[in-house]
Amino acid sequence: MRLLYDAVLPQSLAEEAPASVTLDRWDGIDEQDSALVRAAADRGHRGVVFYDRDSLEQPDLRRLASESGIALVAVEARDPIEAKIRVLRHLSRIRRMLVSHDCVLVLANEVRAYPS
Amino acid sequence: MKQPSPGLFAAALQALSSTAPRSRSLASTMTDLLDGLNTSHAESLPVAIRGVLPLLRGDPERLRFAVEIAVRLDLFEVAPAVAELADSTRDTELSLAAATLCSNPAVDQSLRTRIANMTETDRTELIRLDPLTVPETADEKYLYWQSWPGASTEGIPYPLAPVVVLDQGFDALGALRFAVSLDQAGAMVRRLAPESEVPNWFGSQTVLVCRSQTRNRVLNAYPRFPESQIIPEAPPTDDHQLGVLLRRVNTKLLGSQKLRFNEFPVDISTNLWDPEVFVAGVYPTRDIAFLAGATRSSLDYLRQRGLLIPLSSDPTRWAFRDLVAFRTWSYLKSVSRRKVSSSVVPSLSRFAGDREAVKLGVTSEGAVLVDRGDGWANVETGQRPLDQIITDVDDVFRPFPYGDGRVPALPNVGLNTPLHPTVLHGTPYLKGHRISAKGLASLHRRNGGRAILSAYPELANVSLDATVKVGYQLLASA
Repeated sequence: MRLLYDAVLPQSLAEEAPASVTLDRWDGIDEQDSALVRAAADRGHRGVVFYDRDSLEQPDLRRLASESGIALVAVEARDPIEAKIRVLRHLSRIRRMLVSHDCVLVLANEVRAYPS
Repeated sequence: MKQPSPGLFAAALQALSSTAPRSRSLASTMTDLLDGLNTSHAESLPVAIRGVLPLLRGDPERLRFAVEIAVRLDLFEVAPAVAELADSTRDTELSLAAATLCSNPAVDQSLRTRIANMTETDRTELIRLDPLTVPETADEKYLYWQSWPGASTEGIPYPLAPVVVLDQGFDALGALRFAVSLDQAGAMVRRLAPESEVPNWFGSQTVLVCRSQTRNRVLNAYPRFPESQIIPEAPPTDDHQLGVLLRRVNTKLLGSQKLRFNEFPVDISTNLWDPEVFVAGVYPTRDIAFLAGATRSSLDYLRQRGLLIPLSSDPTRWAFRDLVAFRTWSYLKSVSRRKVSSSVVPSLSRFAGDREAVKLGVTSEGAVLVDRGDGWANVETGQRPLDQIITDVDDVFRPFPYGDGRVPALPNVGLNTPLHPTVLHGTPYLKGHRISAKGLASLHRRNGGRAILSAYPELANVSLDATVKVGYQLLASA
């Protein structure tokens, strides 16, 4: 599974991911959130990982992602390093959730589907 | 090679002798050098720089700075002057620069031999000069592969900086501007002269931007160089197209080292009244309160009276237009001696944006007006206002005193700290990066600047203080 993650999440997230999951950090500049979704679709990613759940509260972004077949993952944490740790810890669960859900939220001890 | 005019010599000397190596970046100095040049000037600029370098001999710091510019842009034409200066001053940095410039096959072999004789035992210079030099240590191997990425028939075990080879048959000004852009984006620039041999530059992290005849020449010399790493296009002249070409180069890079695009923003609509922008954004209550300069209780008051309806209730979130409405009301209350009607709040929050609006205004009675370049008009009735005091929302976006404090400006909340409703769902961020102010502050809170640089090594030379401060203010408003 390949995921694109937002630049606010640390560079090291890609380096520390296990071989079964490819995590690519956004390498563009301060483009719109929708640009990540389009890039993920262009590059063959399963989804985009954003920092904090407010990213999932954008109706237009959710609609674009749905139309593009791209999943949205948001991780809630006190800071980006904690967010990285949570993503790495829950990668298997994220992967399983994305089989049947297109929008998930990663918390300290769980990964849950995010309602529309 | 075209000879520079006296004016160009003077301009080059002026630009290079007035650099401020300690306070200005190489990038900004390079940009200054190109300012006002036409194609003819650009063609002879390397020779002009070669001519004025000796005049900087008495100022070693500026001399090295100027030579560094030449190295970064692969202005091989200045190699003879740099070699001469390196020999006469015994400056090792100049000697290294001369070796780097002489790696370009357009440089006469006799000059390469002279540099090699000067260096004798300095292997870092020899490696730069000659791909036949065998690297021994790990550092030498890294330098070797970075200098001669095409010399390997197998994979290179090091992440290399991208190498972009530019065909010198293109328009000189466009090529130079693109070279500066590439350098700013983190690429190593190499200039391939039309008649020179094809050097060992063509590896897996090399992209070639060229004309068709140069493509054929390179592929004849390197049949295994992938066609997919060749861009048969001339560098454009406008900034937007430069940014697009940079992105195309970036897509050709297969390794982990990519280009940086800080200087080339894409077309985010800068018109905040554009419907797609005005209704976008997702803000928690505390952030709205901070950015509007008001209290959460004021927001609750408006919400309870149905004057401001959040985007969502669980959790409570607001859109950018709600921020504008709330802030405008706060502003009007701060500047007006009379009671301000709260009707301005629902009027603005219901406004769906206007693509043609260049200005947005409100009256204290709550009418919303737009100026599409031909004067104010009511958004609902289309009528021109008569004898009404109109508050331009641009004024609302300036910092203003409120209570004991000062409300930050919008959309530039702090130095290098803008917000845009469609970027990071509208939270203030570090300009040029998708890294939020809150994210930076939360890391700073963890372990100061070290935590930030550990997470974002690309920010090593970026000014962060103002953005971190905004982040702390947002975190404190929680």
